[in-house]
Amino acid sequence: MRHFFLLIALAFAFCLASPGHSAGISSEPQLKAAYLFNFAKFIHWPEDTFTNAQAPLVIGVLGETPFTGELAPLTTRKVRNRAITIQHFKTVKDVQNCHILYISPSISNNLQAVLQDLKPRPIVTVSDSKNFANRGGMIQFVTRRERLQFVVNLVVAKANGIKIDSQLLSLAVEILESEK
Amino acid sequence: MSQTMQQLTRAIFLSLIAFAAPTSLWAAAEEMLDLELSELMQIQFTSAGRKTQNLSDVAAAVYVIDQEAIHNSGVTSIPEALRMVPGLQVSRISSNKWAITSRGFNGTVSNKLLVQIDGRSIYTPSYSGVYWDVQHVMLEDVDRIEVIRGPGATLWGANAVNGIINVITKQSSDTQGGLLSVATGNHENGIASFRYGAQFNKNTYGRFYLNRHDQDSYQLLENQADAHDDSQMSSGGFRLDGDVGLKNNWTLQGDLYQGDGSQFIYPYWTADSPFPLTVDDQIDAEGYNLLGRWQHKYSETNSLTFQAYFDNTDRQELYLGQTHDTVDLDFQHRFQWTDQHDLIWGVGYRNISDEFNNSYMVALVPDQQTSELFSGFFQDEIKLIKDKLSLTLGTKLEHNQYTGIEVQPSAHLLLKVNTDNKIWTSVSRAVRTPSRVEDTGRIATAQLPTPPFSHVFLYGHSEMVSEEVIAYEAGYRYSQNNNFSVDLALFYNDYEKLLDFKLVDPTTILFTNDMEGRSYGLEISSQWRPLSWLTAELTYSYIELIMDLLDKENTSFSLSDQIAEESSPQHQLSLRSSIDLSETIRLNIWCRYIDKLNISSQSAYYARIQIEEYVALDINIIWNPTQNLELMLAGQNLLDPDHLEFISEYFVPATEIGQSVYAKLTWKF
Repeated sequence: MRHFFLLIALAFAFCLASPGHSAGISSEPQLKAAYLFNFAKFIHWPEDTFTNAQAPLVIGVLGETPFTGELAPLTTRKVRNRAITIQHFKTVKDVQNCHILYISPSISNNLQAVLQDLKPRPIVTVSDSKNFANRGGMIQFVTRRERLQFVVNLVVAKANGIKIDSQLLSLAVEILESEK
Repeated sequence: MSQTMQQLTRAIFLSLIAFAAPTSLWAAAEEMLDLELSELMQIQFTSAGRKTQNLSDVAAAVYVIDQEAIHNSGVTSIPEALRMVPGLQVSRISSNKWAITSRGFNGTVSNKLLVQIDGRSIYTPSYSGVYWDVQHVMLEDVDRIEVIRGPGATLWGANAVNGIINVITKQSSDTQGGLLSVATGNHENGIASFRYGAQFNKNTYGRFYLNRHDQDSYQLLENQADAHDDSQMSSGGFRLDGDVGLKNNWTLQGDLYQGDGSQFIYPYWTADSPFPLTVDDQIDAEGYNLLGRWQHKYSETNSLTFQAYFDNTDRQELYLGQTHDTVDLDFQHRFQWTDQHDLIWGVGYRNISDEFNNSYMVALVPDQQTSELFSGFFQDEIKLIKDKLSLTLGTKLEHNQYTGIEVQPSAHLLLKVNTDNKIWTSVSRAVRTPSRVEDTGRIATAQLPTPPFSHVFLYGHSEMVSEEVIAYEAGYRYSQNNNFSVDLALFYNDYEKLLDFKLVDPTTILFTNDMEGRSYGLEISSQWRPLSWLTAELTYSYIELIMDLLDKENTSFSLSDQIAEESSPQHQLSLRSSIDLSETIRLNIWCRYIDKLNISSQSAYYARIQIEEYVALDINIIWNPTQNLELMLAGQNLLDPDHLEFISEYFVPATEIGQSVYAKLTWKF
């Protein structure tokens, strides 16, 4: 019995020592919106992707959007003194000035062609599609243990002069660093 | 539409959303933007109910008790939770003893049901049953209890003759943070549970728990005296879950328990006492286990799983002390071959070392032994018509030291008439291999009524063979938008070589395999959610058993046939309902009818005690004053002060199961 109380005491000590976490249940689009915002914070684009010092950082959605208003709060935020604007594109040809591009599942049929088009451009492509990173996408959302996580293709990022903070990279599930 | 028009409509649309959407959505989204990336990675999001969908596609009689059902039911242990399952017979012998079986043949030694906790078997092979009193899983951390009635031997192996129970605890990623719960009442002297879960790094989650469960005694039937069947059990454990990249995941978990329980032993014989004694004994039980599992996923349909565990149990009672060390290794490979075949095969090895502290009353000779079990299985799910008709063929091959090679094949057919209606049928063979007691045991069971008043012993011997069943099953499932569902299962079991006893001379009884028989029945469960705040579940089961003794000279001695026929409640009915009285208050009502048992066991026969039919009513009310705090007031067996549920076949005086009222406080942080 004495051991049992000792265990309890140890248990409480352990709880006090480790940080508490709030792990509520949230909607997937909400989470993705928050991720896109964080990507903007931890990724650096070549200066010439912005027309001037005040030019906004553009987050685009290609194809049918899975978001229903979750992206709107991003426009109230600033990243390195730049406003954020949200744009929607029907086809890859509409994609003009854009920094982060979320590629909707509706595009999956001609994803290869889309990625081929975007490959040489300094745009951070983000998608849920299977093997997205392996196929030349930059950030792929993956689900592990009902949590949203991501894989980074560093090869494509480097080729386009996009710098990703080590803080972001350290949280990636996998980092692809060599051409496959 | 022109570009400007598009932009305009979008602007209007967005502003509409901003206004129309409840402020909470905007606020929640805003709040989430302020979170650190590492915090975002911990947020769980709801994915559509995968598990439930898969289960409705199983061509077998499956029932699942999920966490919500456990929570709502107000049960304080796994055996109590099993009362929800149609087709299971759950009888409380005394406060710390249970008789639990599936589709008949109940008893303390209930040997046709296999039970696992997170893939670790808790079936004690020497005794052919489960010591339920030491299985104190923390109920808050149970994800679900999957129960399969009928043979599951193809996948799970021998002794899964009439059913399998899989208790599955949550992954530690699903039990983050702290939980403290305390309960106390008239029968539940005290339950205290504590769990804490944390994330160690981006790939690893863990938790540990501590649990203490003190239960009071009931009273004896004979004189209403204290039954001395109270128990105190302490347990603790941990679980770690991790990922390596996207394709590998692993689990390491372990438990430790120690406790004691009181029991009367009657009749208790010693070599020199002229008459049987009643002894007030104490059970001392302890044990620990450690399990590791590694899974490599090539893809969703192609994976390798390797699992290993070590399990130690020690149980000391006046008439027998027993220690078991089990090492179990298991490998499985699942893959798809063409579009039509979903294959799974595996091999397993189990090594059990036992050691007994024998008494005059119960002895196993030799008192130490190591046995090995080799197994392999193969199963192919063939899609005969895509998304319509599938046939699953499989077999298990097992080698044990008592009976050598056992073959346990099965065939299951599933027809999806449409998304709402499914029909299945199956035929399977399963065996129950002899236990250590049946092989090498010696148990004092009676005393001659005339001089020289010698004791009568029951002996095990090496001629014992496996009990066999061929089971024919069919079922139908209907579900409609998760609001209404019906699950019906029918079975016909053909048994051979069932366990029997034979008197070979006045003081010698031998185990034999001289009984055969058949059973048939049906089980139905129906869930209904007519309103968002009201759910109801009705289950009913019916069973009939017909047994024959093959050795006609033995019929005047053996009671095996009558006991098998009369120890199962022919009708069982359960109605559970949850009513949300308000956003924070829920009322749960559970009513069960259990049919009478004319002869629950040999002891009951000689003592002329029948188990009357009974109706049990459990009611509880749950109040959540805040999101993290919960109060529960629960009452069990509210309709009658006490009733009998079962008389054990061994050494336990008839005990009446009383009422229980308790209050419970749960705090999450």
